[in-house]
Amino acid sequence: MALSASGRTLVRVARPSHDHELVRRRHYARVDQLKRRVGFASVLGFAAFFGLAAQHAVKSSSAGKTAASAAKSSTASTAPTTFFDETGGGFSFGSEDSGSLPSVQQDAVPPSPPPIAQTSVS
Amino acid sequence: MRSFRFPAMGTEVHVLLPAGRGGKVAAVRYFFLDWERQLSRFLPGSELSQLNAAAGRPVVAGRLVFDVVSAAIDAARATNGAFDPSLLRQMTRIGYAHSFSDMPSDADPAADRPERGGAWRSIVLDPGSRTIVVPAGSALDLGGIAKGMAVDAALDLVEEHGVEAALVSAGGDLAVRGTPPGGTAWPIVVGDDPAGQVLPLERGALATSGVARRSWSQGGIRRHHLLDPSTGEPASSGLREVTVAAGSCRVAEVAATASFVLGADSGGDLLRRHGLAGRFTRDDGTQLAVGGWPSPLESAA
Repeated sequence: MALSASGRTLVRVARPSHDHELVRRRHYARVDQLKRRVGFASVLGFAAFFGLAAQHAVKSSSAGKTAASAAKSSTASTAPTTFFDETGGGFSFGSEDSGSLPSVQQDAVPPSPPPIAQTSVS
Repeated sequence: MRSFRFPAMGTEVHVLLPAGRGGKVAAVRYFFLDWERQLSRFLPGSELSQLNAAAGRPVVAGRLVFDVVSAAIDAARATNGAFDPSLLRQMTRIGYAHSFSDMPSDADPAADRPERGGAWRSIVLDPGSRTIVVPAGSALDLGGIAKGMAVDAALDLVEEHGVEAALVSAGGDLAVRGTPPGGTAWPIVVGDDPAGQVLPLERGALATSGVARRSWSQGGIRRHHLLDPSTGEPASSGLREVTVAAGSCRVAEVAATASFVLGADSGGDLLRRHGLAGRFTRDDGTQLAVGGWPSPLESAA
């Protein structure tokens, strides 16, 4: 405790050491908080950047594909074909004794078309 | 099983459904009529007819028409043009301009020289916008694949409705799903002879291309509807009919048509190359089995 020379007593309260520690801790806590905020913002920023870049790449790719497919369609006769590549189990035949169901005629003769009109005796 | 028959797509559709599932046939009938409305070359207002009328210009097609045209082009590529969906002008030239039931007994003679096929190679398809450009001076006839695709799609439809077993046939091009009640396979009498070979079809499809039914006279010349794309004239491959077994009706139908045009040797190679089975019937009545086609087990009584 120091005394002024004017006779008025100014009291300079010396901070106790634990207050200094408290201030120091608060300071570093704020710094850490700021660091976390900056870091989070950076992550968001990079994510946004890469998202935009990826979207642009997809758009470019699809635009390229559209252009390519349009170009391909004009030469469709030379493109590879998968017409005979069947999915879904293919075909198979059973044994001679496959049940007692009545046979189904594959190629039945179609019915005659109905007449357009019919006269009647008045 | 319950049997239902109705006319559609220029032929007779035959549907077999388990007892108690007959209520689904109405949906199948409407389905076929919808396909006919969009894909028939005999209906002036069909989307296909409008597409053909706009040859030389880009047309944005509906999803069904675009899918069928795409499949037809794919089939043409896969058969190196033996199956050709762009032969409508050639078909009209030889007298098959109207529905077969409306054909005259003797069509007017052809007025011009035959024209080779192959215009399908110049068709432009843009899947993104479903735009189709049919080359000017050519026209599409999807009769050689649309029925098969409709049969496959109709079976998908009844399966979605929970039907566990079904047979759908459009003019003899047929496919099956599931196991029929009381049996392990579907006994199919091949062809239109009631005493013909009985084939126990466990799964898959059968399709026949032949000249016995759709043939007519033009100026005294015998004509039929299976054209050879290399000449634009009815194929003369020494065959009366070809029946093919495949996993789907669309493949069976295309393979049967292409094999008929190619003849027994090259057609047989085509079937073997793609793991299909077939039966070739020559003009003299003799037969050739290809792939895993069963030997004649029995004839229907």
